Amino acid sequence: MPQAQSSDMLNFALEQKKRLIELARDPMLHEKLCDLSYDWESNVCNTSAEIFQILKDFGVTEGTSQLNRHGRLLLGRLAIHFSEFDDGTQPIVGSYTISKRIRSGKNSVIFKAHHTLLKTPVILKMIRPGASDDIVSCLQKLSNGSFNGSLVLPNDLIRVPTKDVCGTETSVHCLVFPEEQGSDFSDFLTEKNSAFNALLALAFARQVGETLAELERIGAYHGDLHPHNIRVVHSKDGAISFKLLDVSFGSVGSTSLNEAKNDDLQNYKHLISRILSVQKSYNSQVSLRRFLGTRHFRTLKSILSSETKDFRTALYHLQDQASHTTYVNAKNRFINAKFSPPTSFRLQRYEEFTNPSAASELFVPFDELHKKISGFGNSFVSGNRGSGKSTYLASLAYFASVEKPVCDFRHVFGIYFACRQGELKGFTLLKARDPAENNRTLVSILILKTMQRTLEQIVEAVAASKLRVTTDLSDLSDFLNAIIPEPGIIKLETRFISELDNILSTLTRYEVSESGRVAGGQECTGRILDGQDLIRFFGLVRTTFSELSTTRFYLLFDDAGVPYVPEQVQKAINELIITSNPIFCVKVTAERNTYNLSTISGKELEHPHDYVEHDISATLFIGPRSTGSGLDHRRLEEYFRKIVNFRLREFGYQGHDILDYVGDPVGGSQTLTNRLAAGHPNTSYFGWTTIWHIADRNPRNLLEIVAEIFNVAGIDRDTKPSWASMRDQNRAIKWISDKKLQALSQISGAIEVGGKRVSLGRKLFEVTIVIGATFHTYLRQDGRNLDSRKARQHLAIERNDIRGLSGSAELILQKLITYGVLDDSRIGVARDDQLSKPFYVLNRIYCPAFRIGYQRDDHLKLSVGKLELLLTQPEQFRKQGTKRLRDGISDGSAQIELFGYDIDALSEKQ
Amino acid sequence: MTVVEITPEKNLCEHIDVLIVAAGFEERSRRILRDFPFQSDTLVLLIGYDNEIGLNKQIIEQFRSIAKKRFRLELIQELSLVGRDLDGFRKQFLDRISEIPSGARSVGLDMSGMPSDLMCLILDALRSSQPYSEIFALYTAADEYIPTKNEYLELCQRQGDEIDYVPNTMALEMAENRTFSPFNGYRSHETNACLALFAGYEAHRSTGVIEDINPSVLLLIYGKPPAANLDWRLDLSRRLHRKFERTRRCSVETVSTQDVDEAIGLLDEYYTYLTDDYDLIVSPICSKMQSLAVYLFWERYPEVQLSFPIPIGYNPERSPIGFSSSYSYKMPSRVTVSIEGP
Repeated sequence: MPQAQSSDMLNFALEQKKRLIELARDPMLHEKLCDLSYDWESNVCNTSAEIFQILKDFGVTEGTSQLNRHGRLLLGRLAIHFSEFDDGTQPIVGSYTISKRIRSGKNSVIFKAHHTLLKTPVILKMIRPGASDDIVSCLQKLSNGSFNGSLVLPNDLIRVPTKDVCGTETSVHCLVFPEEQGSDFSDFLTEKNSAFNALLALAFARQVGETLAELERIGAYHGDLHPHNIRVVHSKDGAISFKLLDVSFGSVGSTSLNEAKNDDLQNYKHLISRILSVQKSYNSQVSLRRFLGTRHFRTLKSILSSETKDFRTALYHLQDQASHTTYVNAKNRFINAKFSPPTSFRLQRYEEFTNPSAASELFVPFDELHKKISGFGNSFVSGNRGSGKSTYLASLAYFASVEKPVCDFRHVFGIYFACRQGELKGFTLLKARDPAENNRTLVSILILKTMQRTLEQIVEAVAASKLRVTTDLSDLSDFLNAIIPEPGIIKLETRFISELDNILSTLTRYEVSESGRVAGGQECTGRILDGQDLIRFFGLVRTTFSELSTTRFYLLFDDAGVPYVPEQVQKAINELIITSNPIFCVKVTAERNTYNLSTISGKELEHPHDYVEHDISATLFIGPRSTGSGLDHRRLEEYFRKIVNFRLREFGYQGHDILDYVGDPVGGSQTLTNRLAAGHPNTSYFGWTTIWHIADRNPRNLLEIVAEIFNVAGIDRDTKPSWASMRDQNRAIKWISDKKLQALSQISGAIEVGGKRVSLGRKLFEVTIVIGATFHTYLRQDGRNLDSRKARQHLAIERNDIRGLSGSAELILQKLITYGVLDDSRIGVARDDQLSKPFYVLNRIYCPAFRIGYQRDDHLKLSVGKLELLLTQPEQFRKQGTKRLRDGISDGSAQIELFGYDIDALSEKQ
Repeated sequence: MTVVEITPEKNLCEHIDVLIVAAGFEERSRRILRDFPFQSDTLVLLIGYDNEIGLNKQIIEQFRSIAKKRFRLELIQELSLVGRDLDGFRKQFLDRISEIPSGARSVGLDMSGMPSDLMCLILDALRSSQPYSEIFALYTAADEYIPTKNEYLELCQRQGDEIDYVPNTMALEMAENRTFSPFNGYRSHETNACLALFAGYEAHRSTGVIEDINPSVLLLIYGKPPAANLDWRLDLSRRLHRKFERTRRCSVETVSTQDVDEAIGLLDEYYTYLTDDYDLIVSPICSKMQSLAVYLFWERYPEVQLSFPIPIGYNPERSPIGFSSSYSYKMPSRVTVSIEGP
C-alpha cells in the first residue's frame, strides 16, 4: 500500500475515533439517540437525526435508512448498556440468575450468574447487536475442534431481551459458559512471589499454542486473548493448566478473520514474553538463555520471531526435534574445530577431568591410595600440585555422560564441586552481618547447592535411561516444597513437562536466586537448611530411585583451599563433615596449608575421628625398606610406568612401553651425580629411571617430561619405537625443569617481608634459586677431590634446632610446601639433637635446572637464624650462609646461568 | 554502535553533562579533561587513587588543578578509591550519582586512567542507577606503550618464539584473582569451565588467572592494534602466551583492540555453542575497549563470571608514554541489551 494512502486511512480512522469520543461525551447524547428512533428489529431509523448523519459519515449505514453490521455495533455500544442486569435484584435471564457484571467489552458484556434451579455457576456473555454475523454456525464450527478441555466452550445459547437507553426493546444473543475455577492469569503473573521455573513459559507456550493451533486448523480463532481470559486451573494432583475462556469466534464485530487470527498470535507472543519477563525479574543474575537452556530458549525465540506468522508454525517449533539436533551437531563441530581434543598426552593434563569420559578411561590410580580415598568416610586429600588429588576425587563423582565410570553409582554417588573455578569464592560479603547467622546461611547454601547438583545429575541419568523413577515423586516434591518459599513447585501438566524436570527446574531457579542473594550480601528468602535436611533429602532420593536405594552420597569439594574457597566457607564444609551419618560423607582436596580444619563453632576436626587425611605425595614417598615406612621404589616405578604405558596404548602409539622410547641405562643416578659434581660439560639427564625420579611422585610432571621428550625427538603415534637420543632427552628434561622453576615467579599472591609487600611468586622463585644454587655449590665442592669416592648430593634442608621461625619466614616456608617446592612429608631423626623433625626435600623436578643430581645423600643442616636468612633474604644467605657457600662463591661455582636470570642481580634488588 | 575518533576540534563531548575521569598516572588519562571543550555547566567527577603509591597524591593534585582551571568549582566533585576497597567505592559512587540533577542525560566516562575492575564497577553502577542516560565511553590511546618496540626486538632475540616474561611491566606481579559482586557469575556445569582470556602483555597475570581457575578449555583472545605499525605488539602477545597454546586445550582468536562490537561478537559466538556445557569466565587483561566489550557482554549474560587478576601494585615509571588519538563509543541502551539475546 502506498505510504500516502496508508497515512490517509490512518488519519481518517483517528478522526472517526475522535468524533465518536466526542459523541459519547455529548451531554445531549441521550436525546440524540432517542431522536434517531432506531428500531433494532426492522433496522430502520430517523434519517434526519444527527446521529444518522454521523454514522453515515463513518460509512456504517446502508440503503437510505438502515445501518450495516458495524453501524449497529457502534450504535449498540452507545445505546445498549444492559444496565437492567446491574440493579442488584438478581434478574433472571432464561434459566439463569445474574449476580454481577464482570466486565464490558467492545463486542460483549460479561456477567456472573448461576443456574436458577441447579445453582451451577455460569458465565453469561451477552453479545452486542452487530458484533456477530452468524453466531450459530460459528458455534457449530467450534464444536468440530478437539480441545481436550483447554478451551472453555459455551454449553448454551439463549436470546436475552433487553432495552436500549430510549426504552426500545430488542434481544441479544447470550452465550452461557461454565464457570471455571482457578485464578486469573493476570493475577498469576503479578502475585507476590510469582517466581516461576524455567519450564513454565514452555508449558504455557505448548498448551495454549496447541489450543490456538486447533482453532486455526478448524478456521476459527479466539478473538479476545488477554490475561483475564486465561484461567490458571489446578487439577486434583495440583498440576496447573491454562484454560482459554470467553472465546469470541464469530463475535468480534467487523474484525476480519485474518485480523482476529493475527491478534491471537500477537497476544500469544506477548503473553509468553510476559512470563519470560517475570522469570527474568526473579533471576536477574542469569540470562534467559542460560535460565531456559539452549533448547527451550531457541524454541521460544523461534515462536516469538516475526517469521512465525501462524499457530501451525508455532506448533511446529514446539515439536521440532530436528532443529535442536542440527544445533547440537553444529555445536560439536564448533567445539571440536576450535578446541581440538588432545590427540596425545601432551595436552592432557593429568589432574583435569576436562572430559569426564576420557579422563575416567585414562585414570590410573595407585590402588592402595584409591581404595583408601574411595572408602565411605570423611577425607582430606592433600598432595603437591599435579599429584592427582583432583583426579582421585573426580573419579568418585557421578557423571551421567560417562559410560565407564570408575565407581558404581549404585554404591558411590559423588556430587562434585570444582571449587577452583570459583563457585564458592563469591560468598565473602557476609561478614557485615551477624556471624552466627552468616555461618548458618553458608551451610544452608552448601546444602542447597548439593541438593540441586544431585538432582541435576539424576535428571541427566534418567534422560540417559540409567536411572528409573520407581515411586511417585510426591514425597520428594513435598520435601522440596517445604524448603522453597511460595509459590514452591508449581506443578505443570506432565503431558507437557515431565514432573522430574519441573522439580529440578524449580530447585535450580531457587538455588540461582538464593546464591545470588547470598553472594550479594543479602538474606536468604527461604528456610535455613542444616545437615539433617540433607540426610532427609538423600533418604528420599534413595527411596525414589531404585538404583540408588543403597548408594551412599559423597560430597566432593575439589581444590577447596584458600583462595578458591574462603575460610568461612571451609568451616561450613567442616560443619557437614561433623554431621555424622551413614548416608553421606565429605571429601575435600586442598594444597598443603590452605585449608582450615575447624568448624564454625571453633571445634578443631579430629584426625581420625572426624576425618582421615591422605597425603598423596607422602604415600608415594620412597622409604628405606628396613623401616618399612616408605614405598619400595620398584612399586613406584611400576606405577609410573603404568601411567605412561596406559596412555601410549590409549593414544595409539606403536610401542606400548616407555622403555622402548627412552631406555634405562644401568647405574645412571650415581654416574650422573659424579659427572655433575666434576662439572663435566656433556652431562645429560636421560633414561627412564632419571625421568621418573625427576618427576618426583608427580604424574603431571612425568607426563609433561615424556611429552616434551616426544616433542623434541619428533616421536609421534606412527614412529617406530626406538630410544630418543641422550641429547634430546636431556634437552627436554632441562626445558621442563627450567619452565617449572620459572613458573614459580608467576605464582600469584603477595606477602609481607620486612614490612614490605612483595610478590609471593618472586619470593618463592628467589628462595628456590638460592636453595638450588646452594646444593649446586655443595655438589661442586664435593667433586673437587672425587677420585674413586662417590659424590654426595645435598637435596634437603634439615633443622638444627626446633625453635619456631619468625612470621614471614614461616609463611614463606609454608608456601614453599604448598606449591610443592619443598616436601615436608618426611620426618626423620635429626643428627645433631636426635629429635624428630621434618626434612624439607627439594622437589626433584628442579634438579636439572640447577644441574644437580636427584639422589638425597645429604641434608643441609641449618639453625633457625640461617633458615630465616635463607627464606627472607635468600641472596644474603647465598653470600654469607655457610662456609662452604662462601668458598664456593669465591671460585665461581655457584654461578648458574638460568635462562637469562642473573642470580647475583637478586641481591641488588633487595 | 561504533568507536569514533574524537579531537578537540571535532568533538563529541560538547553535550556531555557529567564527565567521570580517573587520575591515572599515564599522561593520556588527563588528555580529555585538559584539552577537550565541554559545556559551561558540565559536572566533573574526579576519581583519585589513595594507595601505597606515593605519586598518586601528586597526580590527583595535577588533575584537580586542571579541573579547576576548566570547570566551575562548585561542579567539581571528588571520589577516592582507597586501596582496593571497591565495595566502599561503589557506595560512594552511587551516592554521588544519585545527586546528579535529573536534567543531566549525557555521561562521559573517560576510561583512560582506570583499571578494568574499576571500569566495570563504575559502568554497572552508572547503568543501574541511570538507565536512561546516554553514556559515552571515552578513551585516549598512548603515544608509546611498554614494552617498547626495541624491548620487543631484544626479547625476541633472547627468548625466541616463546617469551616467558616481560621484565618490568607497569602492572607488577599478580596479587590475587579477584571476582566481586555483581560479576561473580553463576556456575552450574560442575567441572567444565571455559576461560576466555583477553591476553595482553602481562604474562604473569595471565598465568595467575589460568592457574587459579584451571579451566577445562582456554580461549585466548589476542588484541590486534588498529595501526599496522603496531603489529609487533600482537606478535609479542602471542609469544608471551605461546606456552598456554602448547600445553592447554586451547582456542586462539584475534580481535581488534578497538572494535567493541567485534569483541562482543566473538564472545557471543563462543557463548552460543558453549553455554550448555561450559561455564564461561572472562578475564580482561587487555585494551580498554576490549574491557568495555567484556562488560557489555556480561550485561547480556550475567551468569558469566568476570575475573580480574589484580597486580600487587603499579610501577609508574613503566606507564605508557604520551597520548595519541582519543575515541568515543556510545553505549547501547541497557534495556535493549538485557532483553534481546542473540
